[in-house]
Amino acid sequence: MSDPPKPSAEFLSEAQEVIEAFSRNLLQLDAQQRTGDYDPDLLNAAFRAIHSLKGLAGLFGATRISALAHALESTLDSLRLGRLPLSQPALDVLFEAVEVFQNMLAVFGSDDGEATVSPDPLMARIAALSPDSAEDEGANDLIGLDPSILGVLTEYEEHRLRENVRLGRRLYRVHAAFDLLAIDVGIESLKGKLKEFGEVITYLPSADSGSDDRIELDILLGSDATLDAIAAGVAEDGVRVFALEGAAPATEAPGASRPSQSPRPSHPSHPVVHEPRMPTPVPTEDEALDLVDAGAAAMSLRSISQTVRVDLERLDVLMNLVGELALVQANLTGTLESVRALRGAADVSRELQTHLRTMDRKLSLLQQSILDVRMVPLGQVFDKLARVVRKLGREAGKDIRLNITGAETELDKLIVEELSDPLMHMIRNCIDHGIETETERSGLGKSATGHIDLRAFQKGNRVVIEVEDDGRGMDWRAIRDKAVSRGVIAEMESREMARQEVIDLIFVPGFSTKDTATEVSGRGVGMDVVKTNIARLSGLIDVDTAPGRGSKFSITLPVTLAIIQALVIETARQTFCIPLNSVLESIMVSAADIETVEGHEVVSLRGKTLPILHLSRIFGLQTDYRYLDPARIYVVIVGLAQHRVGIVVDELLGQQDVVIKPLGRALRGVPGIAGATELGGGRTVLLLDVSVLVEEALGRDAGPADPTAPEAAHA
Amino acid sequence: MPENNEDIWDQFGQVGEPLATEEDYEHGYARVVRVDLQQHVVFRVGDETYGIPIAQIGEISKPMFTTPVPRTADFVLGIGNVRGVVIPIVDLATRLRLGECALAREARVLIVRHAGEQTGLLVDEVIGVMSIAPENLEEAPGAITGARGDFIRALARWEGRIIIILDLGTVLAPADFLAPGVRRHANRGGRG
Repeated sequence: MSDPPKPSAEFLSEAQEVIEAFSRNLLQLDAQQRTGDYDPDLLNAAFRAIHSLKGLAGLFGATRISALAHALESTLDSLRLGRLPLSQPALDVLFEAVEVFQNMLAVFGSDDGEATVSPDPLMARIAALSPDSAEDEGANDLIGLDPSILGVLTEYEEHRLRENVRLGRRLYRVHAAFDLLAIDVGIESLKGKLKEFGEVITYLPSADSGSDDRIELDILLGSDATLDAIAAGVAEDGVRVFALEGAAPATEAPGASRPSQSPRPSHPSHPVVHEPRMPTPVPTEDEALDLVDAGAAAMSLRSISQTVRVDLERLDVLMNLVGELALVQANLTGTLESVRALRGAADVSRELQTHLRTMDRKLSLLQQSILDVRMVPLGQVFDKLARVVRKLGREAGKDIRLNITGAETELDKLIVEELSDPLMHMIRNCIDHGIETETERSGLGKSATGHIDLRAFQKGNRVVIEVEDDGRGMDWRAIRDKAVSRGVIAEMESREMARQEVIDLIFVPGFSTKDTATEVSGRGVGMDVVKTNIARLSGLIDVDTAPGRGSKFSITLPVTLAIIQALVIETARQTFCIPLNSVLESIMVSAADIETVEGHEVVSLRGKTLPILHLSRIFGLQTDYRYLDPARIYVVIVGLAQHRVGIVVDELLGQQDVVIKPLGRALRGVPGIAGATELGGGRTVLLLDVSVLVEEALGRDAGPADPTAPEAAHA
Repeated sequence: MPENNEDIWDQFGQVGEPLATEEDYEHGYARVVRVDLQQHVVFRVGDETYGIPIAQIGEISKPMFTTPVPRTADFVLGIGNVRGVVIPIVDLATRLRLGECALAREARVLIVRHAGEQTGLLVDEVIGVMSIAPENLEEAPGAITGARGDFIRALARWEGRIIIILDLGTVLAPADFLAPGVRRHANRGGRG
């Protein structure tokens, strides 16, 4: 039914992935750069990402993206070769590149759009970064090393060598012998161990030519650790470690050692354990190096081929099939009942029951597996947010640290996608409104650095995401006064509102506590959009705030969307499903428990007053009251965002896993109906859209508060 | 014309290939088979005869169980389930303001495909499949005006009867599916 993906769609998703990987590398680099020492492999990975983006863009004729990638590639090359220092301004340009790439991707393919996003300003900044020729100063810091080593180093390796010497690390030569057949595995494992001690600068083919089926290598390692520690760490058959003379000793503070202070090779500052016998490169042994490269290449190829990109629609097809299998299963269970009723079929029915039970188990496994495939870690969004915090924090002149926990928490892909905008907005609010300026903070006795905590964790079958800042928080009285002056609520009304109710007013459209609109937060569209988006995902949002101490927003979301648990109910002899994740509980009341407040029916539940609505009435269905017992009225309490409403139904029929099916264009958007689903026996029933019903019950289209019942919900 | 559906299905199987028409029979087989003829499924709603190009019809089924959908227009019978796909089912008689479908034994549901989506049309009887030459089609007849006129794409003559070729674009206009006074809720994040 669906068109095959267009080449441009393929390009977009692949390019998006590459840019995200690049962005992750940058974020790690940014964090490490502040500590003064960074993992060069991250720069390499960033370089590779941009390199592949360039190739990809070229392949699909995205010339402008390709050109930008090309310029960036040169910059990254300079960075990794040390021709250009990795500084904050350089990182700024790289981070900006992420934005520009994404903007260019967003408009890729539309002619007028391409004109609106220009990479030129960025190109100019990239050009301005171009390396000065100041690298020469460190040229003589390596003179202590065997020229035979220096002779075979590439420019990059030489730079890394210098960098290690600059950081005051010692140099070691690790000699290892590998079985020819297992060389790729052996080298990877050794490399892994060595990385714990320092940096592997290069591999050198060894002069100690061994037997035909073994290859010997020397590995140049820069490390702070002692020889003994390294030797013990890599204790393995055929591996020996030697200290190299001539490198700077680690006696000075890292970074303080100047090349000129490096000891001369003739005056080694510490005893040399073993006279290193550095190899002279022998042409025939180039094969060994090739093998290493080939090994590494094979590794990376393998890891790539282990992931498969799948169109979400295809997964939906699978999901539907599983849903239908579940129906078949339900029908078979019905058949089992009939077979049981037969005389003399006891054996058959027992056997059938066993098989059915097995099928049931496998089916739920299958269902779970498909759901798992759709799951992606929230880290995908959190990475984007980290970039936003970095950028906005710098723009606002606030020093803000973002602490992320639970980035590995998984949610359905669709939910993760839909979450990025609301979360972005909340983070922006934290930076713009929440966290004070540095001077303000130190005046209050707070740490100058503002903190935003972004937490995700699973709680039962829901995922909770919390955004908490240690900023100025919200004063509920200020919110109330603002709401009155904006005309959101009447003054009379405001006097009777409880604290939590007032705070919930921030979710009302057009409400914003800060008068000066900034570019980032804008004004008018704010938390109400966040609320709408969260509600769309059947999520709840809660806010907790204390003036002077900060605010905490908690979003509670279902883990998956496509298959949901539903409460099956009946009203006016029609069956409906209510998504169980918006159902808080079901209660039974008698007609006498229902009171009216200004014409609205309410019930009391544990001291709280809840507005109620009759499903049959709002859907205009004929209820035959003769069959209903006024002493046994079922009320399903649903919660959406910060609201609680009771829905009166005739019968509760039970809970069931259901596959949501869309209604098609013509019936999509029938208010109150979210979709359809199949129950057993070929019955198609409607799934209620709780968010719309709640909004209607509150008498507003999108308003969160219920101004008509100020007595309701005393917090 | 065929009463049983077997013949219709035979003809369905030949969609896309030139088919002999009534006129071909009249003139004998010597005539070159024309390839510009359009095949239509012809059916009865009330006392009127309608046609829909066969390419727009996915299948013909017996009336199935439908689940009523609240807040929809009177002609929307509800949703039906066609092999796992949930589709709206429309009572064409009500839609065309010809009363209500009698739901007699001959009643059928035409599953039509329009704008990439399927809809079921409940009709009183399926008559058959016919081929219409372009010159026998009277495009955009001016005589019929008003709302009903909008449903008509063309008129065709066949066996002395007038066949109304429906314009599915207006018959299935999504805006009409909601009950009067009900405001469509904003699209919900791209998936139904």
